[in-house]
Amino acid sequence: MNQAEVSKLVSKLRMNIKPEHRRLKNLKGPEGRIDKLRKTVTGLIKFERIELNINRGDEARQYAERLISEAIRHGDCHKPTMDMANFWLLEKQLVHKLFKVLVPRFENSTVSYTKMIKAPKAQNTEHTNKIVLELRGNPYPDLIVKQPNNRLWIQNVLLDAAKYDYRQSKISEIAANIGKDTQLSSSSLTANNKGGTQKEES
Amino acid sequence: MAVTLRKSTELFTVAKWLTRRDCRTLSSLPEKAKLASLEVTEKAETSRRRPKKVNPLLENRHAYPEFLPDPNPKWRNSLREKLERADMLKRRNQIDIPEFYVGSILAVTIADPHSQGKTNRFVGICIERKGCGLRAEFTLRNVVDHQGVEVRYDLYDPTIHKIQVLRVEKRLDDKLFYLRDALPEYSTFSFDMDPEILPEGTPVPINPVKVELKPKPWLERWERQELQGISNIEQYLTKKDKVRRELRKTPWEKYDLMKQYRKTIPIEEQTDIWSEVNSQLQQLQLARKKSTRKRTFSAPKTQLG
Amino acid sequence: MFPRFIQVVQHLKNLERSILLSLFGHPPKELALAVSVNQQPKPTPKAFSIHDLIGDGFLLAVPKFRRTVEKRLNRKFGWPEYVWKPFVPKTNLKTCHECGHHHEQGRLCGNCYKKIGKETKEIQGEILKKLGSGPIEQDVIVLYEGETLPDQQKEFWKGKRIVEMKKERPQWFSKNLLQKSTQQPSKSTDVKPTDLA
Repeated sequence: MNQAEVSKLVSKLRMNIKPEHRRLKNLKGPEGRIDKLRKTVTGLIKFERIELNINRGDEARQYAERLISEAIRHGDCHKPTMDMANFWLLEKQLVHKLFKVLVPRFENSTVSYTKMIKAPKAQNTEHTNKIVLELRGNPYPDLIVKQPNNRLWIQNVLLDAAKYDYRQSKISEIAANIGKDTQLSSSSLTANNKGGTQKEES
Repeated sequence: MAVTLRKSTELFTVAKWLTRRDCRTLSSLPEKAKLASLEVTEKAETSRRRPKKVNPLLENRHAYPEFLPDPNPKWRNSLREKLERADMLKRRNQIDIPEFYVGSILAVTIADPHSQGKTNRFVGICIERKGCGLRAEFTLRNVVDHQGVEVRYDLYDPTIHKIQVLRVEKRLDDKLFYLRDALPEYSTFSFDMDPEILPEGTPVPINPVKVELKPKPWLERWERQELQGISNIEQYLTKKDKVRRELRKTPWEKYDLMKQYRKTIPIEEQTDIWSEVNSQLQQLQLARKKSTRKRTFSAPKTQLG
Repeated sequence: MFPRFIQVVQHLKNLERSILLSLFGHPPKELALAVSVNQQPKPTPKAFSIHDLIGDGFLLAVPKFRRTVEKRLNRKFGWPEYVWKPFVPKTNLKTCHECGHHHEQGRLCGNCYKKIGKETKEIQGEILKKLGSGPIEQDVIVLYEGETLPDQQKEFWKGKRIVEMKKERPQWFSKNLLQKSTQQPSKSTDVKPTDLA
């Protein structure tokens, strides 16, 4: 039973968040966890696409989304937000990038600012679970190519019809040949019998 | 007599409030008026630079924090929360639960079958407000006959007859547990205290008083809690205390975005809740204002009665 | 507390003895106590026997009850709540539409990812080289060899930094530089034969 904090206002994050934070094993404890996540968030903002393990990746994703949403809500001139960006982004050029590039990019967005895509697992291992974290609107080639719904394109409609016609013609051929085959086989049988009986007689 | 005293205090508070306001716009000198107008336009420009406006409904969260649900997702249930909010408003229709904060001085009258007159009145300073929904609680502290007494009440307890705010103000901290280790004069409030009424529309004053602690032993390590309301903490600390305090500090915690997030209800959910509840709360507030105005304009008591 | 006290007393006694010894030497032999010189007979060594070692017997860890067949099978083949030992076939393998390699459902295709990852690394390298260490205030557009920005919407391209890659555009990297297409879909219904493929 806790009373919600009212001193600060936060925007809702557009992703699933677990009730407890992950501890991310490291020697310095909570401070080390935050340091690790700082480096990861800096890397994500710098490179816009990084590959890493799922646990640290998901935590870093949450923090990156929170940082971007704070920057969008409060903007450039708000001192606590500048302080926060200064803390989280270890390279100072990225603070400029956050406010001047990412905020206008995501200002009017209704979906999450980052994407988490599961990367292929290494062969014959169950433990390493790699993911690719990327910011939406990055300049690199898309990882997930949308499957075009091409069944109704004219060329596919024509090809499907051609395939159907071909199959139908083959089926009718086989059906026509069935009778012929049986006639032929029966006639060959009788011929053989005659031949056989003749031989026996002689 | 009491009425006249109240009137004088009212005038004083009004005067204080007026002096604090920017009177340059009222000035007849053209330069001063121009300066004030320039400031206003500058402020408008900076607000235009700011991308989003804050919904005025969200201001309700300070006065009525118990309407917001528990931020822990394990204890969230949208249906139960809706029903609770409806019940809370029903209770507020029965009895006026005023706006108060930690640091305000309240007088609570509850039903007591064993006392004469079947009611029991306690006056004290609110040191804590906790819980959400119908389980919201607050604790009042006072020193009675040189004995510190704390009473915890449920805000929506049906046996409460009356909750009266004698002085509405905020303090420098969210919780005032350090009053337990402070000198008793900081926790004593007379049971016959008169209510101090502020003029309508004033912001809630923040009392900047810094409390003096008694010598150790203390109930908690107040030096490690970053409390703003204590004046003489350093004189009671040993070298070891100071060293351990530095070692225990967690400067990264204020930058922990997800920790903040998990403790708060996001704006989108809050706007839903306040839009549901706001109209009724506004009606109750209007009713409260009417009743206070009636009280202030009541006929003065005669010397005899 | 007491052991410490006794220790201190003993230390003092030793100190006193050593001081007296250094000052006065050993006391005269006439004052020494008389000691009997009767010696006890030497104990003869006993012959070794196995009973000394084992004696009444010693406790060995030994099974008390027969393991049931259910328990034996559980240990051999595992159980779902603990660890499942038999191999479980993966039924979540799909074929990639682009390249035909296999991949787990819900994950990226390994072959495609390798190809895209390589290209991404090259682009990242070029971007870092181009942007350097100054403040980053503009979005980035990647152009390959022989490509120019479309003339339309010049104001849109103004606020972006251009990074030129020194190679040809790979076949699989779409020409569309934006997520949405720059061209509006055409409203004409007649299709030229060459535009079919």
